[in-house]
Amino acid sequence: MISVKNLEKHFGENHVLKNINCKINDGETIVIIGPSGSGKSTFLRCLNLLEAPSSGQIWFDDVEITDNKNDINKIRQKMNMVFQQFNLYNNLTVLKNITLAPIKLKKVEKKQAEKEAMALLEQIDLSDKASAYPSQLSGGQRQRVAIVRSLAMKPKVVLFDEPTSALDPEMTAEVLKAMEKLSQLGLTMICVTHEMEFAKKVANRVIFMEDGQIVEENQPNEIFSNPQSERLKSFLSKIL
Amino acid sequence: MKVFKKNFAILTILFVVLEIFSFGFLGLKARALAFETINEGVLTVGTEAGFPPFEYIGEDGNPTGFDIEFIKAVGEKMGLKVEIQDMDFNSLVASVGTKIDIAIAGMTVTEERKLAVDFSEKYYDAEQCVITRKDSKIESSSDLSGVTIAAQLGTTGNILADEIVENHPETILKTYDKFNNAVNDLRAKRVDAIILDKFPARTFEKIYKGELKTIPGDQFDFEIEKYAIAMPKNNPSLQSAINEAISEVKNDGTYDKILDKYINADISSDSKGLWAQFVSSFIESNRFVLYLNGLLVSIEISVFAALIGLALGMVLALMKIAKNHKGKRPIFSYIADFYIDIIRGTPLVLQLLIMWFIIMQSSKNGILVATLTFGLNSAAYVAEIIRSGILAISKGQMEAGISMGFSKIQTMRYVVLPQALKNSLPSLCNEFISLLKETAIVGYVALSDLTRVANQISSATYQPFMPLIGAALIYFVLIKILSSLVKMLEKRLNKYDIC
Repeated sequence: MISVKNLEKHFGENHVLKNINCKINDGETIVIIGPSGSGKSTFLRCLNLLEAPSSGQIWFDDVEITDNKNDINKIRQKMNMVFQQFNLYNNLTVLKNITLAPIKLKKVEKKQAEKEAMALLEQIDLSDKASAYPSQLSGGQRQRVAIVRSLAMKPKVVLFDEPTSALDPEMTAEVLKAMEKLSQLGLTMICVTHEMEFAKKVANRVIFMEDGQIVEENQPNEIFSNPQSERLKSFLSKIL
Repeated sequence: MKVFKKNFAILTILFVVLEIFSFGFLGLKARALAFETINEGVLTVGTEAGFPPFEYIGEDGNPTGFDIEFIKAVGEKMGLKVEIQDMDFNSLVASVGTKIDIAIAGMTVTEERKLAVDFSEKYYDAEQCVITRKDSKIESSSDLSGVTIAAQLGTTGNILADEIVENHPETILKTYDKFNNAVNDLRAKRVDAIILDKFPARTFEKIYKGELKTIPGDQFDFEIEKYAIAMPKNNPSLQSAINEAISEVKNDGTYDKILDKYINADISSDSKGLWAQFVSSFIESNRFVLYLNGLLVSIEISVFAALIGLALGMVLALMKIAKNHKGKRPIFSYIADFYIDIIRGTPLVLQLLIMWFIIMQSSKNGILVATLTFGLNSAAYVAEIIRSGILAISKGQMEAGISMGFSKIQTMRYVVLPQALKNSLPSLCNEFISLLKETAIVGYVALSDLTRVANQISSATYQPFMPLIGAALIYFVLIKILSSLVKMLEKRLNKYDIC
């Protein structure tokens, strides 16, 4: 579904991504781990061109998104992102946050979009917050709304950029629970996180990045119980 | 959809304004008789109604006085309807032939003015005088050496004063927009002598009895001045038609009647107490209506200018922050920068004059020109306000929008701009308030806004300060109300502050 070839990214002098190659299949849940500054988030943000790659190619369903001729806005409708800082639209209510994109981009009838949004809010137990503004929600609530906002577009892939890093443990648990549900539904997920338990439990595959490179990728039990490289071993010894 | 409708309304207003604007450009001059006037059948006459008894604002709020009644009689003889436009004296000569057909404003024939305009036969002999304080030792032209003299800008007195300064380099010349201000400074000993026309000199002497005195011009070798009507150069048919009409008016006795009515009448003005000054500044002749009308002009210009400023300012702000996909600024971003720099780097009053005399020379609609100028000016400031409002919105809002599949423009419209505008609202209101105050300069393009009305009344009543203080009070009260509203708004916004 997604394939990445020779991806490079420079920020001025900084060489942040070095020759990244990888393939992600339909329905997979990928977790990317690695120390801070290893390029995980940059890699994720390159996948939907929030960061423009310096060189290399990315395909999404056989469309080369790194080719300027292809309309990235169309592709992003099928490949949403959930952010560390939630980034709900502050000027809109919860309901409108969810329905804005379906109504404006997919031309869904307003009533229909609201019905679907309410159903999604039901699933995350926030239907009573439909007319609240983001500022009136807790962090965990905001992140759950951000996730269903993304789902309302019926995407093929959702990119999670450290979705729980700004949350306290209790809220982290509620967000991870929601993400786990999604992965069971067969949505393709690529998730940058420090939640190793989540990686062990939910991921089909774990990618370990360090210093702008993919050092190791494997099934979670292999990664955590049988790390091959010295760098992964030392990383795991520090965090576990 | 609501947002869209609002935008649409603003656009519509803009279009209407532009429509009027272009009509002003294309408006063809009508042909009449042997000469042309700007409007067919109408003689458009410029004056500055701040020179009683020749021209001043009468009880009905319209210019009146010797010149005005005289030119109306002349127009009647020519078979034309006379329309008076009150404007700044300094603008008169430049406006002849474009904004106005002719000018009558107690204007003396001088060689300098003859370079720019032609003159009719003289219709009045005027004598320049000098007024000084009672205790002054100034008696002849040599006494003016080394003292500070004053004159009204652009008047004959100004020309005489220039000659005096040329002959006596130690003499300091101060020029004023209004005689009233010069007289005030004379009394405050900021100046030692004022050169001005005999009639107003005598009036001031009467008002400040025991304080000021008038010295006849012949003691200073001032020549008798000839007042004449200024008209466009090289238009002999207009010139002869006016000269014929002047002699008719003189021969049938109309001229003498007007002379008796305005010039030879006894001057009743006397020095007055505060209450009497108040009455004559605000209550007598229903003058408060004039202030209100002036205030309406100020408000009208500010409101429409604010709408133009908001719409254009928003566009400029978006142009300025635009980036292409490589993260570089496109050319139009620099154009917006340039525009904002030019507007903020030049005085508003010059922008107004350039607009009036050069860019929109063919337009006679001062309100339109002023509104457009203030709108274009305000846009530069609004652009900076909105731009910083946009920059204050976290980058995540834009990223959230585009990662959902919205284009940058869509995200701007649905998400970023509403937040930015809301945050900028108090600053935008403050911009409107300063706009309202800045309109005080539209007198330069012949509009009677609150400030100019105060000036006119000050001239008509020979009262230097009461009308000005009155106008200042009106501005103050209005702006105080507006700024309290802004404060309330700010409080409410903070209460429901988002994020």
